[in-house]
Amino acid sequence: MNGCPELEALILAQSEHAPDALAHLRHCPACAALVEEHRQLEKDLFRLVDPLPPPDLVSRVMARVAAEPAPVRLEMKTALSILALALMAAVLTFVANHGNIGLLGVRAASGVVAWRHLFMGAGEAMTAIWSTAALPFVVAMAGLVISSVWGLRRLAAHRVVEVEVRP
Amino acid sequence: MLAERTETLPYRAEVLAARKGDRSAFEALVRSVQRPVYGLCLRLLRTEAEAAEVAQETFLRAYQHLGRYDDSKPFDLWVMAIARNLCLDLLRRRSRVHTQDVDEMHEALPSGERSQEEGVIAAEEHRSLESAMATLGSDDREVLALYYVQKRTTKEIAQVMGVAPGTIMARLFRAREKLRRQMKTEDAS
Repeated sequence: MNGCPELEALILAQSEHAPDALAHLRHCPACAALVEEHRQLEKDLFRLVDPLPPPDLVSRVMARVAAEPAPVRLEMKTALSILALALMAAVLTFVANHGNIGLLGVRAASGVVAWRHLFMGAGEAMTAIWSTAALPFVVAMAGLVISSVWGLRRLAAHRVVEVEVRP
Repeated sequence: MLAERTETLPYRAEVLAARKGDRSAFEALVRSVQRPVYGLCLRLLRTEAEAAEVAQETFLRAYQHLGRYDDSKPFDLWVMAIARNLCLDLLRRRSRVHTQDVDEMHEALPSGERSQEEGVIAAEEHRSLESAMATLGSDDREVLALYYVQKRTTKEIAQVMGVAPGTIMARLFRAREKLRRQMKTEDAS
């Protein structure tokens, strides 16, 4: 079969009715026989069907399922984890302050004042930018928002399916 | 668009109900997909007892991990992927295959509907085909079973096997070519 195309390519080309492949098959009995064997094999394979499962498969599965706790949604698990972490952080903070709630209040108040100063500074900076370069600022912000939304949409569309569940 | 697509997915209502703890909804899901799941297990493992055990384990895992299932994708493919992983784990642990296991599988695997006149010859052809298939590796048996027996699309097969859809046709050809050669060898002997 010197000069014959690869069988895989030939079968594919034949299925697409490529003129070259059809012409080759008309003049090459060896390739034509191989392609016909594959066609016949496919025909036989398509006749196979799945076996019936054991009649008690469902009842056995459900007996094992009955012994399991009800499934918990991932969101619920995440929410519970966040709640547990928040509680743990609260306890740790309480312990770190030696149980002194008053000291905790002073620290919280000073934190609020510090953040207030930070926000006021940021607000003044924004006002300065707006008064000197409003248009470039708007364009830059719009670009940032559009690219972020586009990126998020792509991320959502190509989210990986979690099909692999291992022990 | 996404909402429209997910609305059309089968088993969606049952999955939602099962997630809320409705065990009868989960039972309906098991009934719907038990045949392809058991079929794939039997093709891969080649013993009825192991296939039944792994199919049970598959559904149990599916129930335990329903929260992780992405319901924008077909439920049956997700379960098939779990079954496949469990089968491959078991195959890795196996050291050798007993001959009687293969014989057992021949009895268990039926072929499609056929008339009585065709019966005897078709049964012999079917037996020879199954026998040749049993000599192939698990990768080849799997792709042949999913495509020809379960009539899955290449995209669906790729999802179950965790490979690129573009590789499926090449895998199918290679598996079919090995099967053809094996059948030739069996015919010659």
